Amino acid sequence: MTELLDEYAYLIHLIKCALGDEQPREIPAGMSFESVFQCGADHDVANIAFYSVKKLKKKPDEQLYRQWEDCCHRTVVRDFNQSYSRDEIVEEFQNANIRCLEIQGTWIKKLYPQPEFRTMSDIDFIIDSENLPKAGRMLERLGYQCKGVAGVDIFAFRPPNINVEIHTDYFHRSSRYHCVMRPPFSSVDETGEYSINEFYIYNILHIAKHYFGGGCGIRRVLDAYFLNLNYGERIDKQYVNSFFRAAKVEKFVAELSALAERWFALGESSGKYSDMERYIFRSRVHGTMNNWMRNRVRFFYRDNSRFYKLKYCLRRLFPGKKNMYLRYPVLKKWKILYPFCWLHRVFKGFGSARVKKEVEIVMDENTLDQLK
Amino acid sequence: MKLRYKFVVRNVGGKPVAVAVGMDNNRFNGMIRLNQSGEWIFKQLQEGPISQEALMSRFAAEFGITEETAKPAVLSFLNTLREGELLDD
Repeated sequence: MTELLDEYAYLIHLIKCALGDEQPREIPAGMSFESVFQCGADHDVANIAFYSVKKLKKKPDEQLYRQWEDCCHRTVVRDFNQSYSRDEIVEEFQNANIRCLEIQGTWIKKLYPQPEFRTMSDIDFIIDSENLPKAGRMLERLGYQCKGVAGVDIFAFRPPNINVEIHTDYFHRSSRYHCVMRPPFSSVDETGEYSINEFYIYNILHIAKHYFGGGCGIRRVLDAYFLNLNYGERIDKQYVNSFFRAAKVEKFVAELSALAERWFALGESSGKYSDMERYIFRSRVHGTMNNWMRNRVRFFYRDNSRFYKLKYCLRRLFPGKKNMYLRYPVLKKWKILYPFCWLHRVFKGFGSARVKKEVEIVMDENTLDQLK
Repeated sequence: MKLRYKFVVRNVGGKPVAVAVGMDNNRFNGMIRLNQSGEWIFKQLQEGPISQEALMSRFAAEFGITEETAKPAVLSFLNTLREGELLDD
């Protein structure tokens, strides 16, 4: 499978021109619009690129042009509906005296030149944990189907395509970034304004969470670009860097910021692609399971380098109490079921393709190389 | 006469666009691109039930033309909405 690096470079160029309402250069000879469109679709940024494609002298053939236009229109429709749903929920929260913070895409899209440029899979809020039952009933009254999902306190869905996630903290307690952030509502001052330092730290750490998890795509680099553009001069750099140091992502943040600047401000392309760029292109919009497994092994090695393969396998075979309680909530009440839950977990994973892949990755010496 | 679904009108790329929202987005999942006069008529319909005659009279007053001149433009737009099953008469 080719990496389509030049196609990605041209896609980045189209996006940069769309953001600045500039005239894009024509597609390079020998490159196909189909490949560029697919790269954009894989990263959920084809809609932005379309604003530049419309200005090209040589356009895609009619069928692809309509497909690309339709993709753009569908993101507009979805954005309208998500914005309306967000407004509806915020109003209901206010009426019910439920304080909430909007996080992730819902907030970040306001930093983009046009909010519909920034697609979202779901609408995320943070509320106080004691308000979860009230929030669930409120969402059901609005026509949502609600359920709890591991890592999310409430997951709600309303047809045709509105997903809502209600959280009670910035990061799940199993996340390595959970203890880095201050409690969510401590970031709001007496006038109800969200601290830009905390907002900046959270969103960058959220990008890091995905990057060092399953990977993240072009959309996250765009987020970093707009975060820096809007807040770079206003944040307390010493303060925010202390958090990035505590989270061990200081180097990552610097590299990400430099990449975002190069892609979307300077528009530079040397024809050589860094490991970070290749990894981002390969990760697509939501990352890959392959990345996620490799990164988990790498982080484990960082903290347990001696006999790490044996230790990793033992840790996976015998996870700690915290992980078992997350996977089997019944254990909180019935600890006696622990051996049976453990056996269930082992037999469920035994022979599965995913476990086989994980073992392959652990045994592969290349896993510990730099991200590639 | 009124709109069948709840719509939001907003500028996208400098041009007004209407999209059905909330539960109505499940029933009409498309996007309507409007020009200046279409946007004005749409907003009148959003405000509540209105007769065709009242709409034409207001349109003529808004754009400084006679009702005779307004009639084809207004009817054409309303018929487009009717064909899309977006209007309840």
